[in-house]
Amino acid sequence: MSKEITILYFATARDATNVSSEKISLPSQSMSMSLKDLTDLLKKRHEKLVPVLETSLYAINMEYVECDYQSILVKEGDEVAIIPPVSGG
Amino acid sequence: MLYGRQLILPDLGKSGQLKLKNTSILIVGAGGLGSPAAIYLAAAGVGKLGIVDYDKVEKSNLHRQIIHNETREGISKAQSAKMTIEGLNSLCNCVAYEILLDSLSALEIVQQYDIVVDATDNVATRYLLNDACVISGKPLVSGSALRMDGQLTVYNYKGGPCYRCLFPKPPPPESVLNCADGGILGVVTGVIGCLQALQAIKIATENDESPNNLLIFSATSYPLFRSIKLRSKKKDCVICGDHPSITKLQDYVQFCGSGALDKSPSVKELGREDRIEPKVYHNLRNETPHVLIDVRETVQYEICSLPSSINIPLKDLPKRIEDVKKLLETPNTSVYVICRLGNDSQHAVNILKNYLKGEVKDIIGGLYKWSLEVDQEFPIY
Ligand SMILES: [Zn+2]
Repeated sequence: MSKEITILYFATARDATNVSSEKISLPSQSMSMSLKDLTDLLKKRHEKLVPVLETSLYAINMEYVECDYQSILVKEGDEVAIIPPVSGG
Repeated sequence: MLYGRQLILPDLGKSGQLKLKNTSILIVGAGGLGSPAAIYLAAAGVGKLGIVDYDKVEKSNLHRQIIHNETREGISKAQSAKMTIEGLNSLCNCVAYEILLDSLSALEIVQQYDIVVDATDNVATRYLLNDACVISGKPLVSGSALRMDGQLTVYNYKGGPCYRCLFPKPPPPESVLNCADGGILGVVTGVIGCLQALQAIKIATENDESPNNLLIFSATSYPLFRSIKLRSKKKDCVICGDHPSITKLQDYVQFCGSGALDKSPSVKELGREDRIEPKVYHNLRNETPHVLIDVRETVQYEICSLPSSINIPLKDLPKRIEDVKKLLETPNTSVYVICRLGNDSQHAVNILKNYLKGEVKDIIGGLYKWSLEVDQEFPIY
């Protein structure tokens, strides 16, 4: 069975993907992938998500991560939230 | 006794009530977030409340801006909020600021208050308030809401991040929906506005043990709330970091590419020759064979539409050019395009011009102007 991570989309990220969450399989044989690689993969899956990701923040397992995306690893079972700013009121 | 039921709360007590009395809170925006926040803060006994809002009370906003009412239509929202607050709690000293907060006015006002509540509806004012609060050392209780989603964070508080730490780059203006275009469920702003009031009370009474976090509310998801743990402020943040490059307020309209007044920025994409006034279109409507395309989203088209108009939402238009062609009696039949405010219709004309031989024009000002100038019975929403 392939190893999976869960992506949660909020606000405009959900509008861009039309789903509130989805499962992504890690590349075969690997235990983790960098947040950078995950971002590239999501951009390929959802064209409309590209501009949204530019200004969104990421949380892994409900903890905010700073944008050093190359060194941050996402592991099997992790939940990655993509949170764009909401500005209305 | 006015505060009896909250005075007996062990978490508040007499000392907490006195702290509220001695606290001043500035609420920027008397809209969907500011309405419930102001009502609860006034009722709870906050000593001084400042209310900033430049707009006037509008009927189409009353579903969420519950501090106002139908009899106040057309008067200043800041004044209307003050009237409600004074009627609710005469002990609250309420100051109404009928101004558009900008780089010139923000610091002077913010410095007079202990806590700032960001209840605004646009990106530029959010950055402005963030910077003003960092520069003057005030906690910023920030709330936002759109459609079915909301967010709540306290910035510049207990060593936590500021708005720029989390969102260093403003989103491109064309990607930012406002409540007028995106829609908003009133109770969603109500939930976030009430939480802003709660957070402000906790700060005022020094009763806040929780770590810095970003609370996300999503009315259509389960669970409704998720809390994201934040880190401390960023060392390299341009305003609250170790070596800030921003030390005074900036031009936020330029920084964000749109300002507080650009509720639905009116686009001028087309020349005069590609446009038609609603009155002129009205006169030719029954005389000249033509096709009228309404490019609003279907959910809006279903609320109200002009007879004989055809609904093709703008986002679907590029792949439905053949459908448009089939509607034409001859290849030269005129096509008119309408939308709500007259912006999307211009984009649509630019698309259609590439494919159609006959004249293609957009109806200036959309159904909004149609309602003002041609048919007063036609609903404005
Ligand atoms: Zn910062």
